[in-house]
Amino acid sequence: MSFVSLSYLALLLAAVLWTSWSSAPKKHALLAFSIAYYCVAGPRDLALMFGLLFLAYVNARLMDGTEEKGTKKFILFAAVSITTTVLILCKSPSFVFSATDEGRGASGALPLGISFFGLQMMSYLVDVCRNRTSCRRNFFSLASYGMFFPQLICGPIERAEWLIPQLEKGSNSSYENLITGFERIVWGFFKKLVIANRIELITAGYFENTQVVHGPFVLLLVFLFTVQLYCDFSGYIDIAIGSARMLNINLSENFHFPLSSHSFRDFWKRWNTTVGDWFRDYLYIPLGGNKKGLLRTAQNIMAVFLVSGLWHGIGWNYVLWGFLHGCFLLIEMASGPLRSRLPLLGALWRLSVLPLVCLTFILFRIPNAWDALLFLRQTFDLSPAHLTLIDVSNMKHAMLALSAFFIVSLREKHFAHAAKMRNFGDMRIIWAPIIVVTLLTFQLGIFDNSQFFYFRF
Amino acid sequence: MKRFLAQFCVATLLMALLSGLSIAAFADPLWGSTILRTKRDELRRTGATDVIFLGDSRAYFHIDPAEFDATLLRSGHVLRSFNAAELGGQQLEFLFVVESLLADENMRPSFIFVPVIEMQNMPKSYDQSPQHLYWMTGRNALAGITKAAEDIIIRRKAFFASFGKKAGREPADMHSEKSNVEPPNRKQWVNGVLKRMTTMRQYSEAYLKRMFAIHVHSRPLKEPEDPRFLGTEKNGYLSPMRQTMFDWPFSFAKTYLDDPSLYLEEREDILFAYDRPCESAPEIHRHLLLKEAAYAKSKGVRLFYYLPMTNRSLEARCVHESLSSSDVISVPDPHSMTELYDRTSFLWPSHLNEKAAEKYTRWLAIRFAEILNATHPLGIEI
Repeated sequence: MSFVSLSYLALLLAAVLWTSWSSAPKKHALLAFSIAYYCVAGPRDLALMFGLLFLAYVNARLMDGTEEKGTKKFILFAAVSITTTVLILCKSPSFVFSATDEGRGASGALPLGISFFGLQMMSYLVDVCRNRTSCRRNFFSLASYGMFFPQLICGPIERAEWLIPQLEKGSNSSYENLITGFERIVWGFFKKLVIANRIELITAGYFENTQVVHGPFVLLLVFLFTVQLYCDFSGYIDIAIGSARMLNINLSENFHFPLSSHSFRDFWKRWNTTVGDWFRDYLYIPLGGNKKGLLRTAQNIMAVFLVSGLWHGIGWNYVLWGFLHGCFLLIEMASGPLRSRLPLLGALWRLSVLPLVCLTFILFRIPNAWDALLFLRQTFDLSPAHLTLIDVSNMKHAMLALSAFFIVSLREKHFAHAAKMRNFGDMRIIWAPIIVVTLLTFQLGIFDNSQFFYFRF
Repeated sequence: MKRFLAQFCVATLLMALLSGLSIAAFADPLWGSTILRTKRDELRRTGATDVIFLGDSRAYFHIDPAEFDATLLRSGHVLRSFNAAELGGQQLEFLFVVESLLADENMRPSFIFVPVIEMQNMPKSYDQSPQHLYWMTGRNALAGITKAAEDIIIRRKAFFASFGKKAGREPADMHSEKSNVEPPNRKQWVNGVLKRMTTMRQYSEAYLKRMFAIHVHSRPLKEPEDPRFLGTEKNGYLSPMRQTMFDWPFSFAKTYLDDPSLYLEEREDILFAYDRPCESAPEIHRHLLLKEAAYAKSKGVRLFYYLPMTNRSLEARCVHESLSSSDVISVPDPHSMTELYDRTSFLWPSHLNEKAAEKYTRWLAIRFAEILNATHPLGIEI
């Protein structure tokens, strides 16, 4: 079930009404709503989810029942191996499921949300093994945590010790939570339908016929795609966080203005942070982090980024994407002292971060790395005959979309957190922006049933 | 919670009101077609156009206005033409554009060429339109319900099998391409439908009534006697706000289905749950074209209905032939202009190449000049 559908809004409204008027713990009701939400994906996907849940539940109970560290680690290793194998099998198009990128999604072969769900289950198992969270003896607690519908498909990935206690509470949503949650959802729809979908409308044709784009338009297209990807994903996260807040549950933030990053290290603190934190806590640090010398640190960074690339999908483009980000981070680390001595070099590096990030994201759009390279090479083709192939009216729409993105970013940076200071008694101040943004979304949005980009991962 | 819900309801009403007002005030009537909007702007900018061509990709590629004007000039007519065709245009849309042109005095030409092509649904490419967008979700939901109900009630063989032989032959047999059964004529079909309806009604009359309601509700009809927005199953020109629940025209049914005795009675739950719009589409199509031509004439504009080259629709040909007016232009005679029908004249099966398109344009201009010479400028026969 897509977030951009009447069915989702109806489900959310039902869930909000149910949890608001019932003082019982929310987990059972939310689990039922989550199953209803996920049922659209089909019985196979639901069975797979429950299979992984059951695996995590049983193994966590086994770990909880033993004091021996070796046995615990063995159980953990077995459970994580099985979960990882399932993830790899699901993501390998040619192995078990005959899927293509286009075919994936609600009716496709890749089980919806399996990547995020898999990571969340693994984090639970590791946390139980490390005694960071208590083992849940009630299967429904774990199931409601694993399948909590607002964040089931694309995150944000939450830790058990943070989410489960909230799910087990029976408190009602306050007016402030309802209104701020709803506002967040409205902005999420705006980002997805008005900015991301409209950019998709402009760029889709060019990405299908990359040979017609030359010169600076290549770079513009690359940047537009990055903005689209960001608005698509952060729009989803906004809807997820807003929906959860309406249910009186706080989810973690996943983005902190990543396109204003001044370094790659900074970028990874701002982009998809819950996944980044997961890889740091459950892969980078267990591998030794930066405590075992420079060479080992470099190896660990590269390993994390390669796995992160593969987590997006099994394909050379994702491997290359991870490899490039690993390289950029290593170069940044190695050149740190030099950049601090030469301010000009530091400034140049800062300026090059965003273009490099955008260039790497093109591998998500043009899966064949060689095709992507040929496309980027066309930047240097400045012959007037080629430059006229671009429809300028499309570029006007692109500029409009970018302006909307700029306004949204400004609002997020300077006004979003002002919500706490608002006077919730004044209805006009609260509802005016909601009504305006909703109307703009209706008028300018593209309602073409397109899925969120990250659904394919 | 109550406070939030109350405010939410008020805000929703306010948004609906504002949205309706903004759609009425600002929405571009040319929907989301970028090509059409661009061409309209170009027309407004240049002004003073005598002939406007509407059409789909065939008109887009086949008609060269410069060549058309030059040929007309050689025939003694000084006219300026403009090709306002777009890729993937639809019949209903052409007529809508005609009305847009007629409504705007600055753009109103003397002659408009409108192709006669098969009636089809509005294409999905119009999803940029605010009007279309605004109601699309609800309409899609209704269409989905309708289709699901159809699947359950009509098309599932197992369902019919459970009713035994009384249920008669399934409609799927009649419409399946794979079926070896010869398609029955309309009378047999309607009879079959009625039999099944009668049989099924014994089991679940209430369900059938609901079915009918869904079907009717999914049709955005304005008035029973206005066939403009029929002809397609899920067309979406009028907003559902204007539609009413049971406005399906039974008088219309009597007119267009040739055997009124087949109806048991004029009851709301009888026939139209099984309606196939294509059954009566040619008549509606013809009626619509004639009505539009008359309306244009009242505004001092003459409509020419032409049959595009490479037209394969039998329905369009029939409708075109039935328009017994002087303002109709058919396709070039394949016996005298064999070169236009030669395989080498085609870029791909449905489109002429540039050279052949020039020839076709010249032929069209000559034919147009002949008609102009033989008739009154407004089409009144001399």
